[in-house]
Amino acid sequence: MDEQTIFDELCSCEMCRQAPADKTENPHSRLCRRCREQAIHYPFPWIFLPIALAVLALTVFAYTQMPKDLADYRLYATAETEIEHGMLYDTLSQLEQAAQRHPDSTDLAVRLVTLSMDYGCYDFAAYSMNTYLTGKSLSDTVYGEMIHYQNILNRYYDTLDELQAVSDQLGDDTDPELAAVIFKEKLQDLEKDPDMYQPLIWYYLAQFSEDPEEYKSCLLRCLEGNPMDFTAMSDLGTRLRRDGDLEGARSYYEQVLHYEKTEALACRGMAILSLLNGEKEEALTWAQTAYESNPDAVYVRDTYLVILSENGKTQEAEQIKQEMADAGTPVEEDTQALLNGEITVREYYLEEEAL
Amino acid sequence: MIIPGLGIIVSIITFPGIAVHELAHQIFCRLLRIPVFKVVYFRIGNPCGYVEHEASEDPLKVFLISTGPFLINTLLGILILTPVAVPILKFREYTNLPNLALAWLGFSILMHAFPSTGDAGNMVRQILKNKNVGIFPKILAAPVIGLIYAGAIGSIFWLDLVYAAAVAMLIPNLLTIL
Repeated sequence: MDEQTIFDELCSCEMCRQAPADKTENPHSRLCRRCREQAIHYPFPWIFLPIALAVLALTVFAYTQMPKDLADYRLYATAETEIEHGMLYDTLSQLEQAAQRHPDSTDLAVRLVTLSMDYGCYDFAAYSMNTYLTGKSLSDTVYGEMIHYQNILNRYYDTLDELQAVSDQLGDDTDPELAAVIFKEKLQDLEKDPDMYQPLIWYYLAQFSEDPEEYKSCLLRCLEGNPMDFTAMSDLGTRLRRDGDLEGARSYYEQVLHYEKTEALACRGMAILSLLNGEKEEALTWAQTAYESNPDAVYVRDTYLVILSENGKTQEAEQIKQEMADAGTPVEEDTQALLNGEITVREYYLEEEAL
Repeated sequence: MIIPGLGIIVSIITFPGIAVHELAHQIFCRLLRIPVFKVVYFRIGNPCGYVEHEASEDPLKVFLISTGPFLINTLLGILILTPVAVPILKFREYTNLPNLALAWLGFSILMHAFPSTGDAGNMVRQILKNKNVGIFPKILAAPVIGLIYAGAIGSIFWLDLVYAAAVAMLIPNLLTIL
Protein backbone atom coordinates (compact mmCIF):
# COMPACT_ATOMS: atom_id res chain seq x y z
CA MET A 1 0.00 0.00 0.00
CA ASP A 2 1.56 3.32 -1.03
CA GLU A 3 1.65 6.45 1.08
CA GLN A 4 -1.16 8.15 -0.88
CA THR A 5 -3.48 5.19 -0.43
CA ILE A 6 -2.78 5.11 3.29
CA PHE A 7 -3.41 8.85 3.48
CA ASP A 8 -6.68 8.52 1.54
CA GLU A 9 -7.77 5.71 3.84
CA LEU A 10 -6.97 7.72 6.95
CA CYS A 11 -8.77 10.79 5.61
CA SER A 12 -11.64 9.00 3.90
CA CYS A 13 -14.44 10.93 5.68
CA GLU A 14 -16.27 12.73 2.89
CA MET A 15 -17.27 15.60 5.16
CA CYS A 16 -14.14 16.60 7.08
CA ARG A 17 -11.38 14.76 5.12
CA GLN A 18 -9.51 14.55 8.40
CA ALA A 19 -10.48 11.13 9.77
CA PRO A 20 -11.15 7.65 8.51
CA ALA A 21 -14.68 6.56 7.68
CA ASP A 22 -16.41 4.79 10.57
CA LYS A 23 -17.84 1.52 9.24
CA THR A 24 -18.98 0.04 12.55
CA GLU A 25 -22.67 0.86 11.94
CA ASN A 26 -22.67 0.69 8.16
CA PRO A 27 -20.02 -1.05 6.02
CA HIS A 28 -20.64 1.50 3.26
CA SER A 29 -20.25 4.52 5.55
CA ARG A 30 -18.27 7.42 4.07
CA LEU A 31 -18.23 9.50 7.28
CA CYS A 32 -15.96 9.50 10.28
CA ARG A 33 -17.43 8.87 13.73
CA ARG A 34 -17.73 12.59 14.60
CA CYS A 35 -19.21 13.63 11.25
CA ARG A 36 -21.48 10.63 11.32
CA GLU A 37 -22.89 11.69 14.71
CA GLN A 38 -23.25 15.22 13.39
CA ALA A 39 -25.16 13.98 10.33
CA ILE A 40 -27.36 11.70 12.40
CA HIS A 41 -28.26 14.77 14.46
CA TYR A 42 -28.88 16.92 11.41
CA PRO A 43 -30.61 19.95 12.97
CA PHE A 44 -34.33 20.60 12.79
CA PRO A 45 -35.00 24.20 11.73
CA TRP A 46 -35.71 26.41 14.77
CA ILE A 47 -38.69 27.99 12.96
CA PHE A 48 -40.56 24.71 13.35
CA LEU A 49 -40.72 25.16 17.13
CA PRO A 50 -42.85 28.35 17.31
CA ILE A 51 -45.02 27.04 14.47
CA ALA A 52 -45.53 23.77 16.33
CA LEU A 53 -46.38 25.66 19.53
CA ALA A 54 -48.90 27.84 17.72
CA VAL A 55 -50.52 24.81 16.10
CA LEU A 56 -50.56 23.03 19.43
CA ALA A 57 -52.30 25.96 21.10
CA LEU A 58 -54.92 26.15 18.34
CA THR A 59 -55.43 22.39 18.43
CA VAL A 60 -55.80 22.27 22.22
CA PHE A 61 -58.38 25.06 22.04
CA ALA A 62 -60.23 23.21 19.26
CA TYR A 63 -60.29 20.05 21.40
CA THR A 64 -61.99 21.97 24.21
CA GLN A 65 -64.85 22.72 21.79
CA MET A 66 -64.96 19.19 20.44
CA PRO A 67 -67.32 17.47 22.92
CA LYS A 68 -70.16 19.87 22.11
CA ASP A 69 -69.52 19.63 18.37
CA LEU A 70 -69.44 15.86 18.59
CA ALA A 71 -72.69 15.74 20.57
CA ASP A 72 -74.30 18.03 18.00
CA TYR A 73 -73.04 15.86 15.16
CA ARG A 74 -74.24 12.70 16.89
CA LEU A 75 -77.67 14.29 17.19
CA TYR A 76 -77.54 15.50 13.57
CA ALA A 77 -76.59 12.03 12.35
CA THR A 78 -79.04 10.07 14.50
CA ALA A 79 -82.01 12.45 14.65
CA GLU A 80 -84.32 10.20 12.64
CA THR A 81 -83.46 7.17 14.77
CA GLU A 82 -84.13 9.17 17.93
CA ILE A 83 -87.49 10.26 16.54
CA GLU A 84 -88.32 6.66 15.64
CA HIS A 85 -87.67 5.90 19.32
CA GLY A 86 -90.37 8.35 20.40
CA MET A 87 -88.17 11.39 21.03
CA LEU A 88 -89.54 13.81 18.43
CA TYR A 89 -89.94 16.94 20.57
CA ASP A 90 -86.71 16.38 22.47
CA THR A 91 -84.76 15.73 19.27
CA LEU A 92 -86.11 18.83 17.51
CA SER A 93 -85.44 20.93 20.59
CA GLN A 94 -81.85 19.69 20.87
CA LEU A 95 -81.32 20.11 17.15
CA GLU A 96 -82.52 23.68 17.47
CA GLN A 97 -79.99 24.26 20.26
CA ALA A 98 -77.31 22.81 17.98
CA ALA A 99 -78.42 25.21 15.23
CA GLN A 100 -78.05 28.04 17.74
CA ARG A 101 -74.49 26.94 18.47
CA HIS A 102 -73.71 26.65 14.75
CA PRO A 103 -75.60 29.56 13.19
CA ASP A 104 -73.51 29.39 10.01
CA SER A 105 -74.31 25.76 9.35
CA THR A 106 -76.86 25.56 6.56
CA ASP A 107 -76.88 21.77 6.77
CA LEU A 108 -78.03 21.80 10.40
CA ALA A 109 -80.74 24.35 9.68
CA VAL A 110 -81.94 22.40 6.64
CA ARG A 111 -82.08 19.21 8.70
CA LEU A 112 -84.03 20.97 11.42
CA VAL A 113 -86.57 22.35 8.94
CA THR A 114 -86.83 19.06 7.04
CA LEU A 115 -87.46 16.98 10.16
CA SER A 116 -89.93 19.51 11.54
CA MET A 117 -91.88 19.40 8.28
CA ASP A 118 -91.67 15.63 7.85
CA TYR A 119 -93.06 15.08 11.34
CA GLY A 120 -95.79 17.70 11.09
CA CYS A 121 -94.31 20.32 13.44
CA TYR A 122 -95.15 23.23 11.17
CA ASP A 123 -94.81 26.03 13.70
CA PHE A 124 -91.36 24.81 14.61
CA ALA A 125 -90.45 24.45 10.93
CA ALA A 126 -91.59 28.00 10.16
CA TYR A 127 -89.66 29.37 13.13
CA SER A 128 -86.52 27.43 12.16
CA MET A 129 -86.76 28.50 8.55
CA ASN A 130 -87.07 32.18 9.49
CA THR A 131 -84.40 32.05 12.17
CA TYR A 132 -81.71 29.85 10.64
CA LEU A 133 -82.19 29.81 6.88
CA THR A 134 -83.02 33.39 5.99
CA GLY A 135 -80.26 34.88 3.83
CA LYS A 136 -78.32 31.62 3.48
CA SER A 137 -77.25 30.36 0.06
CA LEU A 138 -78.52 26.87 -0.77
CA SER A 139 -77.85 24.35 -3.49
CA ASP A 140 -80.51 24.11 -6.21
CA THR A 141 -81.84 20.81 -4.85
CA VAL A 142 -82.08 22.01 -1.25
CA TYR A 143 -83.53 25.33 -2.40
CA GLY A 144 -86.24 23.42 -4.28
CA GLU A 145 -87.06 21.39 -1.17
CA MET A 146 -87.23 24.46 1.03
CA ILE A 147 -89.48 26.26 -1.46
CA HIS A 148 -91.75 23.20 -1.41
CA TYR A 149 -91.91 23.36 2.39
CA GLN A 150 -92.45 27.10 2.30
CA ASN A 151 -95.43 26.62 -0.03
CA ILE A 152 -96.95 24.13 2.40
CA LEU A 153 -96.37 26.52 5.30
CA ASN A 154 -97.84 29.42 3.36
CA ARG A 155 -100.98 27.42 2.63
CA TYR A 156 -101.14 26.29 6.26
CA TYR A 157 -100.86 29.81 7.68
CA ASP A 158 -103.14 31.33 5.01
CA THR A 159 -105.79 28.81 6.05
CA LEU A 160 -105.30 29.63 9.72
CA ASP A 161 -105.56 33.35 8.88
CA GLU A 162 -108.83 32.79 7.01
CA LEU A 163 -110.28 30.92 9.98
CA GLN A 164 -109.01 33.54 12.40
CA ALA A 165 -110.68 36.25 10.29
CA VAL A 166 -114.02 34.43 10.57
CA SER A 167 -113.55 34.04 14.29
CA ASP A 168 -112.74 37.75 14.67
CA GLN A 169 -115.83 38.73 12.67
CA LEU A 170 -118.10 36.60 14.81
CA GLY A 171 -116.94 38.00 18.13
CA ASP A 172 -117.63 36.54 21.56
CA ASP A 173 -121.33 37.30 21.81
CA THR A 174 -122.43 35.35 18.70
CA ASP A 175 -124.81 32.44 19.30
CA PRO A 176 -122.59 29.29 19.34
CA GLU A 177 -124.92 27.38 17.02
CA LEU A 178 -124.94 30.21 14.51
CA ALA A 179 -121.15 30.54 14.83
CA ALA A 180 -120.79 26.82 14.13
CA VAL A 181 -122.94 27.11 10.99
CA ILE A 182 -120.99 30.12 9.69
CA PHE A 183 -117.69 28.41 10.47
CA LYS A 184 -118.72 25.22 8.73
CA GLU A 185 -119.87 27.14 5.64
CA LYS A 186 -116.54 28.95 5.55
CA LEU A 187 -114.68 25.66 5.89
CA GLN A 188 -116.71 24.14 3.06
CA ASP A 189 -115.80 27.14 0.87
CA LEU A 190 -112.14 26.86 1.78
CA GLU A 191 -112.20 23.16 1.04
CA LYS A 192 -112.77 23.99 -2.63
CA ASP A 193 -109.80 26.36 -2.70
CA PRO A 194 -106.61 24.50 -3.76
CA ASP A 195 -104.48 27.25 -2.23
CA MET A 196 -105.73 26.36 1.23
CA TYR A 197 -104.18 23.66 3.43
CA GLN A 198 -106.72 20.87 3.12
CA PRO A 199 -105.72 18.71 6.14
CA LEU A 200 -106.36 21.66 8.46
CA ILE A 201 -109.77 22.28 6.86
CA TRP A 202 -110.69 18.61 7.28
CA TYR A 203 -109.57 18.71 10.88
CA TYR A 204 -111.85 21.68 11.62
CA LEU A 205 -114.69 20.17 9.62
CA ALA A 206 -114.42 17.16 11.94
CA GLN A 207 -114.74 19.46 14.95
CA PHE A 208 -117.98 20.90 13.56
CA SER A 209 -119.52 17.60 12.48
CA GLU A 210 -122.32 16.19 14.60
CA ASP A 211 -122.34 12.68 13.19
CA PRO A 212 -119.60 10.38 14.64
CA GLU A 213 -119.08 8.68 11.27
CA GLU A 214 -118.66 12.02 9.54
CA TYR A 215 -116.30 13.07 12.33
CA LYS A 216 -114.14 9.99 11.74
CA SER A 217 -114.29 10.39 7.98
CA CYS A 218 -113.13 14.03 8.22
CA LEU A 219 -110.25 13.10 10.49
CA LEU A 220 -109.22 10.33 8.11
CA ARG A 221 -109.25 12.85 5.24
CA CYS A 222 -107.09 15.11 7.40
CA LEU A 223 -104.63 12.28 8.01
CA GLU A 224 -104.52 11.45 4.30
CA GLY A 225 -103.12 14.95 3.70
CA ASN A 226 -100.94 15.05 6.79
CA PRO A 227 -100.20 11.60 8.23
CA MET A 228 -98.22 13.23 11.03
CA ASP A 229 -101.07 15.24 12.53
CA PHE A 230 -100.80 13.91 16.07
CA THR A 231 -103.86 15.81 17.28
CA ALA A 232 -106.03 14.30 14.54
CA MET A 233 -104.65 10.83 15.31
CA SER A 234 -105.33 11.24 19.03
CA ASP A 235 -108.83 12.60 18.34
CA LEU A 236 -109.55 9.65 16.10
CA GLY A 237 -108.31 7.30 18.82
CA THR A 238 -110.59 9.01 21.33
CA ARG A 239 -113.55 8.72 18.95
CA LEU A 240 -112.90 4.98 18.52
CA ARG A 241 -112.58 4.57 22.28
CA ARG A 242 -115.95 6.25 22.80
CA ASP A 243 -117.38 3.83 20.25
CA GLY A 244 -116.00 0.94 22.26
CA ASP A 245 -113.26 0.04 19.74
CA LEU A 246 -110.48 0.02 22.31
CA GLU A 247 -107.94 -1.78 20.11
CA GLY A 248 -108.59 0.66 17.25
CA ALA A 249 -108.10 3.53 19.67
CA ARG A 250 -104.89 1.99 20.99
CA SER A 251 -103.44 1.64 17.49
CA TYR A 252 -103.87 5.38 16.82
CA TYR A 253 -102.41 6.36 20.17
CA GLU A 254 -99.49 4.03 19.60
CA GLN A 255 -98.83 5.58 16.20
CA VAL A 256 -98.42 8.94 17.92
CA LEU A 257 -96.37 7.52 20.77
CA HIS A 258 -94.08 5.81 18.29
CA TYR A 259 -92.75 9.26 17.37
CA GLU A 260 -93.35 11.13 20.64
CA LYS A 261 -93.70 9.05 23.74
CA THR A 262 -94.75 12.00 25.89
CA GLU A 263 -97.43 13.41 23.55
CA ALA A 264 -100.09 14.53 26.03
CA LEU A 265 -103.28 13.58 24.15
CA ALA A 266 -102.03 10.14 23.20
CA CYS A 267 -100.74 9.50 26.75
CA ARG A 268 -104.10 10.60 28.14
CA GLY A 269 -105.80 8.19 25.71
CA MET A 270 -103.53 5.34 26.80
CA ALA A 271 -104.23 6.20 30.45
CA ILE A 272 -107.97 5.84 29.86
CA LEU A 273 -107.51 2.56 27.99
CA SER A 274 -105.40 1.20 30.85
CA LEU A 275 -108.02 2.32 33.35
CA LEU A 276 -110.76 0.62 31.35
CA ASN A 277 -108.66 -2.56 31.40
CA GLY A 278 -108.39 -2.31 35.18
CA GLU A 279 -104.66 -1.49 35.09
CA LYS A 280 -104.84 1.46 37.44
CA GLU A 281 -101.12 1.85 38.15
CA GLU A 282 -100.24 1.81 34.47
CA ALA A 283 -103.05 4.29 33.89
CA LEU A 284 -101.52 6.57 36.50
CA THR A 285 -98.11 6.45 34.80
CA TRP A 286 -99.66 7.43 31.46
CA ALA A 287 -101.80 10.17 33.02
CA GLN A 288 -98.81 11.56 34.88
CA THR A 289 -96.73 11.61 31.68
CA ALA A 290 -99.54 13.44 29.88
CA TYR A 291 -99.83 15.95 32.73
CA GLU A 292 -96.07 16.57 32.89
CA SER A 293 -95.87 16.89 29.12
CA ASN A 294 -98.72 19.36 28.64
CA PRO A 295 -101.14 19.93 31.54
CA ASP A 296 -103.15 22.40 29.47
CA ALA A 297 -103.97 19.89 26.70
CA VAL A 298 -107.64 18.98 26.37
CA TYR A 299 -108.93 17.02 29.40
CA VAL A 300 -105.41 16.09 30.55
CA ARG A 301 -106.01 17.50 34.05
CA ASP A 302 -109.47 15.86 34.27
CA THR A 303 -108.05 12.48 33.35
CA TYR A 304 -105.17 12.85 35.79
CA LEU A 305 -107.65 13.81 38.51
CA VAL A 306 -109.88 10.80 37.80
CA ILE A 307 -106.97 8.37 37.73
CA LEU A 308 -105.40 9.79 40.88
CA SER A 309 -108.76 9.25 42.62
CA GLU A 310 -109.05 5.74 41.21
CA ASN A 311 -105.60 4.99 42.67
CA GLY A 312 -106.65 6.36 46.07
CA LYS A 313 -104.33 9.36 45.87
CA THR A 314 -106.86 11.78 47.26
CA GLN A 315 -104.40 14.43 48.37
CA GLU A 316 -102.81 14.73 44.93
CA ALA A 317 -106.28 14.62 43.37
CA GLU A 318 -107.35 17.55 45.53
CA GLN A 319 -104.30 19.51 44.38
CA ILE A 320 -105.23 18.97 40.72
CA LYS A 321 -108.82 19.93 41.49
CA GLN A 322 -107.61 23.16 43.04
CA GLU A 323 -105.31 23.76 40.07
CA MET A 324 -108.27 23.37 37.72
CA ALA A 325 -110.34 25.80 39.76
CA ASP A 326 -107.46 28.30 39.76
CA ALA A 327 -107.16 27.96 35.99
CA GLY A 328 -110.85 28.80 35.60
CA THR A 329 -111.82 25.31 34.40
CA PRO A 330 -113.50 23.70 37.42
CA VAL A 331 -114.40 20.03 37.50
CA GLU A 332 -117.34 19.26 35.19
CA GLU A 333 -120.56 17.74 36.50
CA ASP A 334 -120.15 14.22 35.16
CA THR A 335 -116.50 14.14 36.28
CA GLN A 336 -117.70 15.04 39.76
CA ALA A 337 -120.35 12.31 39.47
CA LEU A 338 -117.58 9.80 38.67
CA LEU A 339 -115.49 11.03 41.59
CA ASN A 340 -118.54 10.68 43.86
CA GLY A 341 -119.06 7.11 42.64
CA GLU A 342 -122.41 7.94 41.04
CA ILE A 343 -121.28 6.59 37.64
CA THR A 344 -118.71 3.97 36.69
CA VAL A 345 -115.51 4.45 34.72
CA ARG A 346 -117.01 2.51 31.78
CA GLU A 347 -120.11 4.69 31.83
CA TYR A 348 -117.93 7.77 32.00
CA TYR A 349 -115.51 6.87 29.20
CA LEU A 350 -117.53 4.63 26.89
CA GLU A 351 -120.79 6.55 26.67
CA GLU A 352 -121.60 8.45 23.51
CA GLU A 353 -121.17 11.71 25.39
CA ALA A 354 -117.99 10.63 27.10
CA LEU A 355 -115.16 13.15 27.35
CA MET B 1 -52.74 15.65 -11.59
CA ILE B 2 -54.29 15.66 -15.04
CA ILE B 3 -54.33 19.45 -15.48
CA PRO B 4 -50.78 20.61 -16.34
CA GLY B 5 -49.25 22.63 -13.53
CA LEU B 6 -52.01 21.72 -11.10
CA GLY B 7 -49.64 19.45 -9.18
CA ILE B 8 -47.32 22.37 -8.46
CA ILE B 9 -50.25 24.57 -7.43
CA VAL B 10 -51.56 21.86 -5.09
CA SER B 11 -48.06 21.42 -3.68
CA ILE B 12 -47.78 25.15 -3.01
CA ILE B 13 -51.20 25.22 -1.33
CA THR B 14 -50.40 22.16 0.76
CA PHE B 15 -46.75 22.97 1.46
CA PRO B 16 -47.01 22.29 5.23
CA GLY B 17 -47.78 18.66 4.37
CA ILE B 18 -44.62 18.40 2.28
CA ALA B 19 -42.54 19.92 5.09
CA VAL B 20 -44.01 17.45 7.59
CA HIS B 21 -43.42 14.58 5.12
CA GLU B 22 -39.71 15.46 4.89
CA LEU B 23 -39.54 16.07 8.60
CA ALA B 24 -40.92 12.56 9.15
CA HIS B 25 -38.14 11.09 7.00
CA GLN B 26 -35.63 13.07 9.02
CA ILE B 27 -37.12 11.98 12.36
CA PHE B 28 -36.97 8.33 11.34
CA CYS B 29 -33.38 8.76 10.15
CA ARG B 30 -32.46 10.17 13.55
CA LEU B 31 -34.34 7.45 15.44
CA LEU B 32 -32.66 4.74 13.35
CA ARG B 33 -29.22 6.44 13.42
CA ILE B 34 -28.97 7.07 9.69
CA PRO B 35 -26.82 10.11 8.79
CA VAL B 36 -28.64 12.86 6.93
CA PHE B 37 -26.72 14.95 4.40
CA LYS B 38 -29.33 17.42 3.27
CA VAL B 39 -32.99 18.22 3.87
CA VAL B 40 -35.17 20.37 1.63
CA TYR B 41 -38.48 20.85 3.40
CA PHE B 42 -40.15 22.63 0.52
CA ARG B 43 -39.27 24.11 -2.82
CA ILE B 44 -41.08 24.86 -6.04
CA GLY B 45 -39.86 22.08 -8.27
CA ASN B 46 -39.81 18.36 -8.66
CA PRO B 47 -39.47 16.89 -6.11
CA CYS B 48 -41.02 19.55 -3.88
CA GLY B 49 -38.97 18.30 -0.94
CA TYR B 50 -36.44 15.62 -0.21
CA VAL B 51 -34.06 14.17 2.36
CA GLU B 52 -30.61 12.98 1.31
CA HIS B 53 -29.45 10.32 3.71
CA GLU B 54 -27.03 7.44 3.88
CA ALA B 55 -28.14 4.21 2.27
CA SER B 56 -28.71 1.36 4.66
CA GLU B 57 -28.18 -2.37 4.38
CA ASP B 58 -30.88 -3.01 6.96
CA PRO B 59 -34.20 -3.56 5.11
CA LEU B 60 -36.24 -2.69 8.20
CA LYS B 61 -34.55 0.71 8.48
CA VAL B 62 -35.07 1.39 4.78
CA PHE B 63 -38.70 0.37 5.09
CA LEU B 64 -39.32 2.52 8.17
CA ILE B 65 -37.59 5.58 6.75
CA SER B 66 -39.52 5.29 3.48
CA THR B 67 -42.92 4.73 5.08
CA GLY B 68 -42.35 6.93 8.14
CA PRO B 69 -44.22 9.90 6.62
CA PHE B 70 -47.29 7.73 6.16
CA LEU B 71 -47.37 7.08 9.92
CA ILE B 72 -46.39 10.55 11.10
CA ASN B 73 -48.46 12.54 8.59
CA THR B 74 -51.49 10.35 9.24
CA LEU B 75 -51.25 10.60 13.04
CA LEU B 76 -50.50 14.32 13.02
CA GLY B 77 -53.22 14.98 10.43
CA ILE B 78 -55.78 13.08 12.51
CA LEU B 79 -54.68 14.89 15.66
CA ILE B 80 -55.08 18.31 14.04
CA LEU B 81 -58.18 17.62 11.96
CA THR B 82 -60.27 15.63 14.43
CA PRO B 83 -61.49 18.57 16.56
CA VAL B 84 -62.42 20.67 13.52
CA ALA B 85 -63.73 17.87 11.28
CA VAL B 86 -67.33 18.17 12.50
CA PRO B 87 -67.72 21.97 12.20
CA ILE B 88 -65.82 22.18 8.91
CA LEU B 89 -66.66 18.96 7.07
CA LYS B 90 -70.10 18.14 8.44
CA PHE B 91 -71.62 21.47 9.41
CA ARG B 92 -69.68 23.36 6.71
CA GLU B 93 -68.98 26.36 8.91
CA TYR B 94 -66.38 28.40 7.09
CA THR B 95 -66.31 31.54 9.21
CA ASN B 96 -64.17 30.38 12.15
CA LEU B 97 -60.63 31.32 11.07
CA PRO B 98 -58.66 29.25 13.62
CA ASN B 99 -60.73 26.19 12.66
CA LEU B 100 -60.15 26.89 8.97
CA ALA B 101 -56.42 27.21 9.60
CA LEU B 102 -56.33 23.87 11.40
CA ALA B 103 -58.41 22.23 8.69
CA TRP B 104 -56.06 23.50 5.96
CA LEU B 105 -53.04 22.35 7.94
CA GLY B 106 -54.56 18.95 8.73
CA PHE B 107 -55.66 18.36 5.16
CA SER B 108 -52.28 19.42 3.80
CA ILE B 109 -50.52 17.02 6.13
CA LEU B 110 -52.86 14.12 5.35
CA MET B 111 -52.63 14.72 1.61
CA HIS B 112 -48.88 14.16 1.78
CA ALA B 113 -49.04 11.05 3.94
CA PHE B 114 -48.51 8.69 1.05
CA PRO B 115 -44.82 7.85 0.45
CA SER B 116 -43.61 9.28 -2.86
CA THR B 117 -42.43 7.31 -5.87
CA GLY B 118 -38.95 8.44 -4.81
CA ASP B 119 -39.47 6.66 -1.50
CA ALA B 120 -40.67 3.58 -3.38
CA GLY B 121 -37.58 3.82 -5.61
CA ASN B 122 -35.37 3.78 -2.51
CA MET B 123 -37.11 0.64 -1.28
CA VAL B 124 -36.69 -1.01 -4.70
CA ARG B 125 -32.95 -0.23 -4.76
CA GLN B 126 -32.15 -0.94 -1.14
CA ILE B 127 -34.47 -3.90 -0.51
CA LEU B 128 -35.68 -5.59 -3.70
CA LYS B 129 -32.47 -5.20 -5.71
CA ASN B 130 -30.11 -5.64 -2.77
CA LYS B 131 -28.45 -9.06 -2.97
CA ASN B 132 -27.63 -8.94 0.74
CA VAL B 133 -31.30 -8.78 1.71
CA GLY B 134 -33.09 -12.10 2.25
CA ILE B 135 -36.16 -13.25 0.37
CA PHE B 136 -38.51 -12.82 3.35
CA PRO B 137 -38.06 -9.01 3.72
CA LYS B 138 -38.37 -8.73 -0.06
CA ILE B 139 -41.70 -10.60 -0.02
CA LEU B 140 -42.95 -8.33 2.77
CA ALA B 141 -41.77 -5.12 1.12
CA ALA B 142 -42.98 -5.87 -2.41
CA PRO B 143 -46.73 -5.34 -1.81
CA VAL B 144 -46.03 -2.14 0.12
CA ILE B 145 -43.95 -0.84 -2.79
CA GLY B 146 -46.81 -1.81 -5.11
CA LEU B 147 -49.23 0.11 -2.91
CA ILE B 148 -47.01 3.16 -2.94
CA TYR B 149 -46.95 3.15 -6.75
CA ALA B 150 -50.72 2.57 -6.80
CA GLY B 151 -51.12 5.53 -4.45
CA ALA B 152 -48.98 7.66 -6.77
CA ILE B 153 -51.24 6.73 -9.70
CA GLY B 154 -54.32 7.28 -7.48
CA SER B 155 -53.18 10.79 -6.64
CA ILE B 156 -53.96 11.65 -10.29
CA PHE B 157 -57.56 10.97 -9.31
CA TRP B 158 -57.27 12.88 -6.03
CA LEU B 159 -56.82 9.72 -3.96
CA ASP B 160 -54.70 11.73 -1.54
CA LEU B 161 -57.59 14.14 -1.01
CA VAL B 162 -60.08 11.27 -0.61
CA TYR B 163 -57.73 9.67 1.90
CA ALA B 164 -57.48 12.96 3.81
CA ALA B 165 -61.27 13.39 3.94
CA ALA B 166 -61.86 9.78 5.01
CA VAL B 167 -59.22 9.88 7.73
CA ALA B 168 -60.42 13.29 8.94
CA MET B 169 -63.87 11.93 9.78
CA LEU B 170 -62.57 8.61 11.13
CA ILE B 171 -62.49 9.55 14.82
CA PRO B 172 -65.71 11.68 14.84
CA ASN B 173 -67.55 8.87 13.05
CA LEU B 174 -66.22 6.24 15.45
CA LEU B 175 -67.12 8.37 18.44
CA THR B 176 -70.61 8.93 17.03
CA ILE B 177 -71.18 5.21 16.58
CA LEU B 178 -69.96 4.34 20.10
